[in-house]
Amino acid sequence: MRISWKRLQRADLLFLVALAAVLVSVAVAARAPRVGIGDRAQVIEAQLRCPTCQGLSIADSPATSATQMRALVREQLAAGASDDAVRAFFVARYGRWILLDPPVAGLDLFLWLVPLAIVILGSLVVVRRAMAGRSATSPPDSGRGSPGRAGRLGTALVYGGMALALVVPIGAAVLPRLAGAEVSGQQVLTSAPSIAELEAFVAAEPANVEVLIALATRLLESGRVGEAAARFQAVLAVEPNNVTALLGVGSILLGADQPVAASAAFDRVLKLVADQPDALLYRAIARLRIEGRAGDLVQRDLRRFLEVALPNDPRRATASAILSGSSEGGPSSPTPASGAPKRP
Amino acid sequence: MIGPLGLVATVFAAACAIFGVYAGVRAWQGTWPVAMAIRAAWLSLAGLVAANGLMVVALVAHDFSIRFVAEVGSRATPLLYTVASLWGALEGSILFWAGLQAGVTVLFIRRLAERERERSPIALAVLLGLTAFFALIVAGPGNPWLPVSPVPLDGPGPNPLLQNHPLMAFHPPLLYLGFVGLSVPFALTVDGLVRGRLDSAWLRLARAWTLGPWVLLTLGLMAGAWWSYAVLGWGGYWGWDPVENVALLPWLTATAFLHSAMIGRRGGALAAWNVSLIAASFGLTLFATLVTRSGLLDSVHAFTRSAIGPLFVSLLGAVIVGTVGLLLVRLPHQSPGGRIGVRGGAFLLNNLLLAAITATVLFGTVFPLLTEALANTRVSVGAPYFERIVGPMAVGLLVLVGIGPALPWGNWSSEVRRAIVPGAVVGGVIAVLVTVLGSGPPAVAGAAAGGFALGQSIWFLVGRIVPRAGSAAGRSRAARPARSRAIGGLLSHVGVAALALAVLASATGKREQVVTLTTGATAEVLGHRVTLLRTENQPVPNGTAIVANLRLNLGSTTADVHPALNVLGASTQAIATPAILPGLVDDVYVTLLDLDLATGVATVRLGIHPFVSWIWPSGAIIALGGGVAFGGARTPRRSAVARSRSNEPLWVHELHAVRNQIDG
Repeated sequence: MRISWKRLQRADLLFLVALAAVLVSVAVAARAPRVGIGDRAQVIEAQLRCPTCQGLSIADSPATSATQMRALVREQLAAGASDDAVRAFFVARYGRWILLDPPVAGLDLFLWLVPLAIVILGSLVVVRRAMAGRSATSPPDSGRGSPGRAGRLGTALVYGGMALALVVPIGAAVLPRLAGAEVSGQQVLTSAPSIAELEAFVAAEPANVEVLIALATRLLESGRVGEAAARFQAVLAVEPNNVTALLGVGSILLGADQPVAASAAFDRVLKLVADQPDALLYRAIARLRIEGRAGDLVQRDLRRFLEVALPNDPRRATASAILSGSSEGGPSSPTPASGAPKRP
Repeated sequence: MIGPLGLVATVFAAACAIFGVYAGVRAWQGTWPVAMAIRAAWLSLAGLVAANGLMVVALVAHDFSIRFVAEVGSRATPLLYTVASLWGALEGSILFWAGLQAGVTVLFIRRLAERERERSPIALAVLLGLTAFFALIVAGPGNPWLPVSPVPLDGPGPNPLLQNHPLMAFHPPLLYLGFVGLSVPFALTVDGLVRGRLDSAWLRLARAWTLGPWVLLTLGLMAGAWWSYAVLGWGGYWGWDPVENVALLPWLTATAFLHSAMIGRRGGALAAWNVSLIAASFGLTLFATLVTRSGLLDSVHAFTRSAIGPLFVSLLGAVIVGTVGLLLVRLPHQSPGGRIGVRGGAFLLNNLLLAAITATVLFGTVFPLLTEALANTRVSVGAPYFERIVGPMAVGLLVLVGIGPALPWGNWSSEVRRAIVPGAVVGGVIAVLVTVLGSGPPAVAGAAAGGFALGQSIWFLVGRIVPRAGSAAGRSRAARPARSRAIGGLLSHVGVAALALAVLASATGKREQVVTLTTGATAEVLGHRVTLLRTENQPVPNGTAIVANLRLNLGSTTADVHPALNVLGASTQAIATPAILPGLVDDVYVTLLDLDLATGVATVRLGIHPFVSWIWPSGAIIALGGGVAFGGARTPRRSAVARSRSNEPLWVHELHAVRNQIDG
């Protein structure tokens, strides 16, 4: 068909001008250079995960670890590293986990192929459907031979695939976690980083308090008390008033039969955070060891503990037992709850 | 005393609902009157209202002898959050859900005409079965009524993040109502499949019952985004967090169904596709609850972990297998049907894009779990990935929003090109503007598409509302519901386009800077002068806040803001409470990162977020459009019933079905 310029009306001209404006704009925007280190850093920062946050990028996160990583990104870019090199640097330290933007390689290829496949296959179906209506003025009589069978098979395949697509991920998501979680029966963030990963983080950033605490807590949970104590001390060297680290050091001292030193640590915690339940209980236990009996201070701490502790806290029983046995001079050396103080 | 009473009420409701399922099946067989099932539905509602009421009384009265109250209650928590903690933790939320499910079941009965009630006992049985499922969870594995001994004097209170902003009291009930509401179209579909009647009356009812939940889901998602912006302090409103993603999924499939149902009205056999979209929407609400409430994926929302997961998984499995099985057995094997026209093709494209977005978001969300389970490697999939894949598809959808309403149901005509000139001009102007401002090509393409969609939608809407001279037909009584459906749809399109532009602007124009100030000092941040006036410790309900009082000189005006870090309840976790100065163009967003009261040194982050304040009204317009269309959707239901009494064939659709039967 030939375009007749006479029939081209003002509305058509406007439309063409507008379309041209959009196309030219996109082309101009694509040609504009983006070379500044700030621009490049922003892109990279949005692609890196903040190791101590819940799924935020270091560009968005206000956490100290994110601040340190942002500085690291800009430092390396300023030193002349390429964008890929900066990303590789963080992947080498933290693993693929640190990248919020999956690479187009390896297993991650599926992430790019699946949407592509859906769009391509879906487009084919849509085009076929639209064509079917266009070519025939009467209802099409395609597949008159055995429409039922072919139709059924097709439906079975499509829906079988759909069901698998839904059930497999959900099953894979649920089964391992349920198996693991029901045994321990307590609240666990199952996809928290492992000790090895945390140690790698600490090696990358030795002064990062949040990572240090996460590592120390993990170590304490798995019974590696000595290492945990060293990590907590590293935290206190940076932040002398870090409550979690003070609690950790206190409970380690208590476990090592150093009640006087432990009690001092808990005193400091309670000065910082009034009625911190862990500190209340452990200070009471420490004083009980020092004095050998449940004096007024011990009883006051324990009563306060029972008021503020979670109702399902297993250590309630210990506290009640000490309180009820206090008239007889106290039970023989109660052991502090194994492992770390519960993190709030 | 409240505990045993609540348990009795729950068990009673479960028993009534189970009996109702049986009665519904008997009514379908024609042996019992459907009134039995209806009575059972009312009784189960009564039981669950009593159970929910008792739990609220127990929460407000601080009856810590009940396990749930002891776990989430606290004497210091303000009343609003005390009541809201009913749905703030796992067991209570399922009790609440069971109550909503029973309420929706009764609403369904009330809204159906007498004749329709007789026709759909299976739908009633499905809804009562769901009520029974949730009531049984509350009575069994998720029992919140268990006694606690010794009775604690006080509890820990709800999670501090959940008691920092009133929006958190409304965001979950809105989402839950939307989720529960989507069970009605699903029940209608099972009913249609079992009875082999997926006719146009089914489609119309299913669409009308999807609109309401869709509006509530829209509002719930917006409330969640707003809460994220106002509370979490990172300056964003949508983080592609797993829990946000799974709540978006049913909204996407419901949106797809609302559009694909329009093709069905005009003829053709898209029944299987419509059934799949309805079942997917409902199944995805279950998946969303499973993910949110079981802590499957780590996220800010996944506070709780439970043994209820397997039950949800099995219900989800039953929904999938049941729907697929019924489709295979019952779906009439009709040929693809008559022509759908250019407009039908556009609806199919819309469905393709929405389905692809749904699949991408679902796959991206579960992918880290898959690699961990199958390959034992830990990976992350975050915002950059979702933005890169969903972005282009969203641009495609926006173009369709602009063109779609102009397309004819028949052949392409040159009229279409003329009809889309206004939007094209708006899109062109915005594209040039955004390019001059120095954005990259994706932003320019998105802005052009958004501008086109916005301009077109407003143009169509004005054309619909302003009556044209000499067209009395548009105002006739019969055309009124169709008119309000069209106006509602266009209104939602205006909201979607405005939302897209606002999101794009806020994402590309965001600027942030961190500054550390001593008391009395002034700094120049992002063109604004910021002064730290003083720092203080302030009591807030159920906790304390450390506050930095800042003075901002924003060019001509001066404003005092008070960003704070709140420590609530027995927690030591500090929660940032950002200060937000909303503006017509720029929001100024101030987060307190760190504050040392002893030295009076504060570290704050100042953010400039353009056009964020346009996002909330845009979301409201989307929902409002759904509400207007809902008004139009209700009326033809009655008239359809009235006409089906006289057994008049109504739609081309049924004609096709008949013809296909003769052909086959």
